[in-house]
Amino acid sequence: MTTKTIYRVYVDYEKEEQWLNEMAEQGWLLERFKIGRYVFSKGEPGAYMYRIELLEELPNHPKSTAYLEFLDEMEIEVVDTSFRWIFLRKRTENGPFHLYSDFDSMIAKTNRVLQLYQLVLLVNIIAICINVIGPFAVWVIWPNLALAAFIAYLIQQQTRKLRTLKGLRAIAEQD
Amino acid sequence: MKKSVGSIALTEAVYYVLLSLQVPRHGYGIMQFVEELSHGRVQLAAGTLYGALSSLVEKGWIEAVEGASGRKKEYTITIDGQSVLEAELVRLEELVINGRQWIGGNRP
Repeated sequence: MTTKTIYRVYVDYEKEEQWLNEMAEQGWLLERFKIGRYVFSKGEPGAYMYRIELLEELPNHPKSTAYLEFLDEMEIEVVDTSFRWIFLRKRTENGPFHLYSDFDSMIAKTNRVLQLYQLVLLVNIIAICINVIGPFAVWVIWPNLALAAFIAYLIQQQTRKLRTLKGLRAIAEQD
Repeated sequence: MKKSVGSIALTEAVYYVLLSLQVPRHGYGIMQFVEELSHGRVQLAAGTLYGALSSLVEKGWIEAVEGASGRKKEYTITIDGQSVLEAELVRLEELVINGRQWIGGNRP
């Protein structure tokens, strides 16, 4: 089996998902993932569609295993997991692959992503503060600041998405 | 906080899920049946369907049953679920009858 390993770091999961689908389009199918390391195998171009999901709990939590079992029954394959992130794929011949078709669950997912980004931003800001107070590695501050700024941008983007979804939900029929 | 059964308006997804569970079905079966019934208009995505099934089980309107066809989990409607569905049908019929009667100035 021909494989290809690519090292990349994504903070924006939507960009990451887009890239995985572009790779799949060219016949490179994601098989394994470990932070920053993507292993692809050569397969049929366009045979799979990929989605990235953020679970509420870690993958081995009973709540997550029940969901993963359900996805398996729905012909959705769990490619790999990393912390609460999971990489999923579905054969394109089995129809379009969307995880959600209603506003409530789209809003719930956006909230999960938003909370995670906020946590990462907080950790980053704390790291910057520590470095400003006791600068034992001053050069780290700059990439740290750049990362914090990028995450702040992503938070703003996800917040806007959340507002749009809530607006759409409001005009749709609800119980 | 329990709403009286008569006042509940079901979402389209919930209505169709309950309707499809007049006979036991597993997740994939529900999705296919709903798509077929609505001529492809209502397509339940996996995550959404999972969320709907979980909340319906929690409400006691449906329950998981031992699947006849191996390891796949099947669901079926409960007595409570059935009365919710029937009450919704009465409400929908009222909407349709009034709509037919009043749309286009066709007054009695």
